[in-house]
Amino acid sequence: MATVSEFKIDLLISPKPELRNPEGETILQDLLLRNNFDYVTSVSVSKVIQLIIKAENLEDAKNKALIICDELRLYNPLVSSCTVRGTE
Amino acid sequence: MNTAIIQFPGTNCDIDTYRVFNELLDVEATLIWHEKTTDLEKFDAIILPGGFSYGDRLRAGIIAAYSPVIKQLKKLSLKGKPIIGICNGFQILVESGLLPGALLTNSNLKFICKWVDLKVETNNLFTNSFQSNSIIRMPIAHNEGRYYVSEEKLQELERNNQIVLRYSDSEGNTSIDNNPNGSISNIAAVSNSDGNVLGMMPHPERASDSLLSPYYSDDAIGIFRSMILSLEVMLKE
Repeated sequence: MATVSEFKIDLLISPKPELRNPEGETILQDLLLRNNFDYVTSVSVSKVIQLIIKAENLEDAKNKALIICDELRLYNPLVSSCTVRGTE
Repeated sequence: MNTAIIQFPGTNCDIDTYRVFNELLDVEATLIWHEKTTDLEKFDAIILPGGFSYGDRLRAGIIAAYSPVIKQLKKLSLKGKPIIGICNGFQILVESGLLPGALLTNSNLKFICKWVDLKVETNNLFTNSFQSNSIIRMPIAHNEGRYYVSEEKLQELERNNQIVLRYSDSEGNTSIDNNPNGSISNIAAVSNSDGNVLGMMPHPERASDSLLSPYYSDDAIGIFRSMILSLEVMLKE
């Protein structure tokens, strides 16, 4: 019987680049550039949802996370993308 | 005639909507808790009122969009049942796929609560009691009201007359200066392609009684009145 372990899966939900990211724009214009960090050219704010998933291995845990993402629309594919990262 | 007003945890415009129907329009409406297994088929129309369902957690409207009541709405929408989503109700309709597009955080990152002028852009089930190009006044009160669709989809909405209301000035000019939240093409309300599902960010239930309006206006009641008049015609047929 396969051993089941717990894996920490981070879902990085980022706005699509073609959409305006007002929070990122404010951080860039009103915080970074105003304080002379002018080597920064773009800021975009994303969201992380962390799941602890029981699975046989990391790949299995990532696949389970992807299923949840698709079935319950944890991110809105019209306006954002989702990157799955995981550790044991 | 009976209209169902669906309540989720966090809905807060349900009673206002209920009173517009029962007291101002003298048309029966019934409050329905979303978990009740009521068959919605027996209602002539369904309204998802505004509020903050599930505290807007994850994304405004997404958790309510997976409520069993929405499965019923999907079936009923295909049968032509009139459905209106107001504010958070619009967000729920978009998240459940009953309406196209997405509602993003306002471009100024602020919760906006103010009265706006709106241009009636199409003549359908929900607007047929207005004259064409009418300007009506309603309040908006939202943090996530920036309507977005792709350019391609926007053209499709235009072609199918699915853009119902646009933010404008009192003359009907729909420029960026009259766009409170950064919505694409100043869109404040859209319908589905069949025209029986309406989503709108402004609040007609708060602009239906002249006593409650700073402009002594009650023109937004025309949204509900149009639907009722259309239903009366449909029920006679």
